[in-house]
Amino acid sequence: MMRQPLPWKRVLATTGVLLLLLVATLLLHREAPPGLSAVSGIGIALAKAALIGAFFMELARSGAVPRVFALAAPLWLLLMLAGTLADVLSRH
Amino acid sequence: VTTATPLIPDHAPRPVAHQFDDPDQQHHAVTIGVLAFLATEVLLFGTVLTGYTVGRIAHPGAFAEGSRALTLWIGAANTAILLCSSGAVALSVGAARAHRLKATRLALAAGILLGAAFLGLKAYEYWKDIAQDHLLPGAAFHPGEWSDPGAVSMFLFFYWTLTALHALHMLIGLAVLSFLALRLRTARALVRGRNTLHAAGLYWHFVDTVWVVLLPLLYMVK
Repeated sequence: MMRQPLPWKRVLATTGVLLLLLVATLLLHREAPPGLSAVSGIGIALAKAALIGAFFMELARSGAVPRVFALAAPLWLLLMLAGTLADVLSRH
Repeated sequence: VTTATPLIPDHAPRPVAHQFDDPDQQHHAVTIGVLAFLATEVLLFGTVLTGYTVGRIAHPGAFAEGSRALTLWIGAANTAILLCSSGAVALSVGAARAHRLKATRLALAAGILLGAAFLGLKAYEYWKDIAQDHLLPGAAFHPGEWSDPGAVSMFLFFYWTLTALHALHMLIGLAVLSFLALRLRTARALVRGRNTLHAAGLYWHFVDTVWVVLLPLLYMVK
């Protein structure tokens, strides 16, 4: 259940993985061509955000309702971006 | 005339507010309430990020030029600091749930200190941006140094807006965490305050997530 104590080993492991992903972001930024650098940078950022949500915010072991609330935010953001870009990109 | 004796004396720890049946229900309500609030925060940052996206599509070269002028090592170091701060706060929330007062306070203090270090480094970066690198359009900016000063100004507008908005959230989070660190000094206070700490932790992790997304968007445009 969610109110059980967070396993401290899992928190430390998550922090370690997040720091490794940061190093990967920096290395890819230095080595990769512009297009790949942008995709990898944003892709790794989203992976880091997912890890923070799953383990630090405990969504991985929460019930369905908190997950729905958490997923609503990126969904609305995606809708806003999609609606705006549909207009912008169709003009070019 | 008889005086009713309260079932729970005033001096006893009361982990559950009167409107909830049990601690699980209260915890659930706190989680959902904070997540609903954070959804509105995502849209607050989202409006600026949408503008950023449109600007970057229209002026990819100028956005890359502006991004190269920022100090990547500070952005990266601040990311590492904030990730560790988030980890420390998660440890504090876990320790509070396990009724470990000393560990709760220690991890919380580490989270606060790391958050303060982030803001200190950010303040140095702002000073460098203005005094050394002249990256503040309208006040400290040399248009002749850029190939497309108007579009670079647009990138820098997004940089200042997003990072200042994030720093404001950091300040609010630090104030809340510091208040909790002062308050959670006894076992009874820990029982009463652990849901508040859980809520503050969710907010702090959100602020961490925002920065994680800002790093590639602002500092790593090629």
